[in-house]
Formats: sequence, structure tokens, C-alpha cells
Amino acid sequence: MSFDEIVCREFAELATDYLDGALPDATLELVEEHLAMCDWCRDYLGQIEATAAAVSHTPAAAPAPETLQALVAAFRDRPKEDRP
Amino acid sequence: MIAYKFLAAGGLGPFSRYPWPLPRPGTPGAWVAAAGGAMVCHDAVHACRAGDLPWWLQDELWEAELGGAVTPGRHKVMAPRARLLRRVDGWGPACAQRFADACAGRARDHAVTALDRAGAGGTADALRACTTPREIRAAVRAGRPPEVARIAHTMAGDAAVRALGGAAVVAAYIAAHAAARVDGERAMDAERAWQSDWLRAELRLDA
Repeated sequence: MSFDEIVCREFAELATDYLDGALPDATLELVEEHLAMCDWCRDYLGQIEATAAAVSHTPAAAPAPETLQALVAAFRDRPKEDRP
Repeated sequence: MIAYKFLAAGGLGPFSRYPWPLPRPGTPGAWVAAAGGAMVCHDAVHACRAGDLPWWLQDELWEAELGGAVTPGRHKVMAPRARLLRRVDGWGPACAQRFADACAGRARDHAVTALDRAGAGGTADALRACTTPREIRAAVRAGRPPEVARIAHTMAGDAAVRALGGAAVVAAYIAAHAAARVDGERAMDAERAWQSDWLRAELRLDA
């Protein structure tokens, strides 16, 4: 049997696009049909939203000076054949 | 066009969380426009025909007027704007539970059909005698169905468990899939039609 609907695993792959409003209408309908009846996926979506909201309010931390120096040194020391 | 709109408790859009303007006695709610995608959904307000209701059950059911060109979707309709006219008072936790119980009964019936066809008369009779989700759950736990009817039998138990938890929309979904498991995809459509008819009659809907 093959029905025109999505399952939880497929929803998980579409969740970010759903939150971004990037789904085409036909897929959006399938996603919302699934969300209307799936507690687990609604919880999952809520977790993603909460995480995104928390991260968006967190300032990006600058690396420690020694970490930055080590990264720059590694970049400069990489073999010539690896350079662009 | 008159259609229906399921909302979360407090008049909130179940997906958008948009607070719908509610009607006051004698006065419809304010029009809500899709406004180029920003306000409610991408580019349309969504609502249900009576036949779409079983897919979208939420806390509150409202009768809504749709404005502008209405576009039919698979299990919904879309319009540029809509407003709420009145709350369908018959829909609430008690009605949702009756619907969930009815759907569990339908899933039971599909399992009984599968068991009868498999020649498992004793297991079928035990399930057929059940009248409540609790009894269905117990019978499924005690039953030993033949492999060919095992999934339909399990689905009857799942529908009963979800009905006991008050998850009407899930019990309806399981009943529809149980029908398909036993009699194919057209049976799923018939099951959804039965569910819509149940809601239409119970809630005295005429749109």
C-alpha cells in the first residue's frame, strides 16, 4: 500500500524547511496533516523552535587567542597542494 | 463560502498560533487576510469542508466565512481571507471522546473482518463482543491472531489505546489505515467518509 502522506522520519527531514516557510504547498499540506495528529513531531518541532530561539540570543564567542594563533598557524603550514 | 476552522484552545491557529478575532454575539469576527503570506500562512487562509474535518481535529471548531476565490486542496480549502462566524458548540472534549470511541469501534470491526477471513473465529468473536475501547484493548492483548490478520488486530488495539488517551484524531487515522489494511485504499476513503458523516450528524453541520 502507498498513501499520500508523510511519516515521522520524513517530517524530521522537512522540519527546518517548514519553520523557514520554504515548503511547496503540496508538501506543506502533507506536513500539516501529519502535525495535526502526531504528538511526537509537534514536540520535535517545538524543540527545534526553542533551540533556534535560544541560539539566536547567544552571542558568538570569539576563540581564545591561543586557539586563534594555532588555527592560523595550521592554515599557513598546510601543504601547498592543499591550498586553493 | 461557509466552511469550518479548527483552532487550538483560546482561538489560536493550530500551526500559525495566530490569535483569530472571535465573533461577538450577533457580530462575526474581523476578516483575517493572508496578506501576501505574512499574516496567517504562505498565501492563503486555510479551512475545512465538512468532509475534511477528521484530518484536522483540534480543541475548538468554528464556522467560518471564506472570502475571495476559494481553492480546493486535498483535505482543505484555501481562500484569501476568512472570518469566524460562530463556534460549533457541540464540539468539545465530550464529543471528541465519543468520536474517538466510535473510531476505535470501527478499527475493531476491520480487525474482526480480517480475523473472520483468516478463519480465526474465536479471536474474532472475542473482539466482536467488545463495546468499549477498554474491552477492545483487553481483547487484543489476550488474542492470538493468525499472522495474516496480526496487523489489523494490533491496529484495533492501538486505536483503542489512543481513544482511551483522548486522541481522537489519531484513533480516526488508525481506523482509516485499518480499513485500508483489510480492504484496500478505497476502504480508507470510505472510512474517512464515515468519520465525516459521523461528525456532520453529531454536530448538525450543514455546510
